[in-house]
Amino acid sequence: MSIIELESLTRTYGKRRGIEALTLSVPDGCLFGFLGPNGAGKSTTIRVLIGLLKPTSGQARIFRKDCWSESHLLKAEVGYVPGDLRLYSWYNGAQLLHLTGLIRRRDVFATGRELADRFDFDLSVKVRRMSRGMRQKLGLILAMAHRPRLLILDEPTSGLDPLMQQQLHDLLREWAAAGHTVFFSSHTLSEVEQLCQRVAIVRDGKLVADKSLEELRLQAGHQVVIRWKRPPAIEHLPACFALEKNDGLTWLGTQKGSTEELIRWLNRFEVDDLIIERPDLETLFRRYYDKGQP
Amino acid sequence: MNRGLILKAVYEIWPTTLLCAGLLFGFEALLSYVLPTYLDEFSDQLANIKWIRQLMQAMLGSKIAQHFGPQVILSFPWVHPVILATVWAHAIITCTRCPAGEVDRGTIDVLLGYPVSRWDIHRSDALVWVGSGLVLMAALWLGNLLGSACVQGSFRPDASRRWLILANMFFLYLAVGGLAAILSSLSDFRGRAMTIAFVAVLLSYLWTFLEQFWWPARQFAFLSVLYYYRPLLILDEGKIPVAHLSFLSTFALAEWLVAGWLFSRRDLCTV
Repeated sequence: MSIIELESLTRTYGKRRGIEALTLSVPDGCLFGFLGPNGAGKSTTIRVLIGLLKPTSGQARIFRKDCWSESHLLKAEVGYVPGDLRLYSWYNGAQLLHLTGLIRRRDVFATGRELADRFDFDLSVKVRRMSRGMRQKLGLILAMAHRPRLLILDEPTSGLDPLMQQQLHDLLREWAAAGHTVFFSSHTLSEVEQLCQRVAIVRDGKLVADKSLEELRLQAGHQVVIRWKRPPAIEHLPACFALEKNDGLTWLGTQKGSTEELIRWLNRFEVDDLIIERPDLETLFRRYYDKGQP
Repeated sequence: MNRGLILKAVYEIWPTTLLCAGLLFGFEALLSYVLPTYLDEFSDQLANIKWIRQLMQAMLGSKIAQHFGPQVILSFPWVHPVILATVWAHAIITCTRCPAGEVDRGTIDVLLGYPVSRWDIHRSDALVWVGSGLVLMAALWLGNLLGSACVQGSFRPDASRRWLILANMFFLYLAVGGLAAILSSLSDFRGRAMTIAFVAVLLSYLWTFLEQFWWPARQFAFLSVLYYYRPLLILDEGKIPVAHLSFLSTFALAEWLVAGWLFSRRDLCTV
């Protein structure tokens, strides 16, 4: 079952592009990475999901409820940490937790305290005295304290130190294992690679990929490094190899067809060394970021 | 109604409400004592100075005779610029908290991350706004009661008339707050919404002044919100100003509904 469903979702800001015909579905119990460079449309998508922005066209649904007209109903089971998190500066952590419980009409204090202990967070400090990292931790505690079925996190690790990032990753893995769904937006590739089971990549407001990491790896063309004794003329390149970098004796490129075909072509020349490997995810993501394709 | 939202709104505006209520109490008590005690001696001389009479007429919104009777002196504490400015300032501050204040501060994302509709927020805020307005009216009532207790009997307003003036003032407060709520629903910047609201009520105030000196302004006097607030008439006649109260309450309700409608339909973006 899909927790989040986007159907041809478009959101523009006047003439400015936000997102364009985004179709996406996030399965239940999944750690879903939502990747894209800055300005790609990640936060716009999340704002539509939370009901802050009305779609220009198309539909956004969470738990099969419309994200605009039924926003208040679906958010009972959603926790959200915005990208640019601002909290009420005159409260301390405990007061905000109490207020969250009252607004949500649920007792969230016990879970909130548990999370605070786990994040090594002092609930008695006023928000105005908190560092950015502390505010981020409090935002996470408030979003998770009611144990939501779906957690929407917009670049949640910004401001967190590496140790805290690791703790958050561990916690999110535990949550996903317990059946919660996490929609995790980030532009940090390594973070998504470590954490997520499935990723969607947006670029210039359009969806360029929506696959499991394994599928992405399999689909991506192999990276080929050829070291020649004597390189052939560039005009003789076969269709199964796309040359990307030529350093004279060393060529770097992507395999486009079958390996057999490539080897057959290489056999016609004097090759000193050959490396054919799957690209790491970072390289793969960069290809999507740069060209919109692997 | 959501208890958490109400508590949040109360927490945010109680210092402003306490400050305004204290100011209104103190100033109203002072005016209700000082004006009858000292102004009575000079009222004839003052009434004969044309510009002072015009100024008084402008503030009271009614023609006054050559002699400042007790009713004129009694109504002055209810139209003093400090009193009106404090009441309006409170209405404007309270009603621009959300959404303009929340968007401006960047906290609207967190607020709307809760399972509450925008109408829930609007309703809860309105409850606190009306409640805090009643606190201000109570402060004015107490101040007037205390100040007039120390002056001679003819300068003590009748209790029922005092209530009527307070009711008129309260609906005026709601009308100004409603306007501020509309501007807040249209704006991403609280400062901008507050400034426009304040300029609008200031213009309204100046319009009633202009009415005394410029006849075309008199033709359109009904455009000023102060046209519907006449303490001198209430003190003179002792009747319920049904038309004024009905207009102000209907206007305030309409403004509040429009503000809620705008808030519920608009996009909210903090970046």
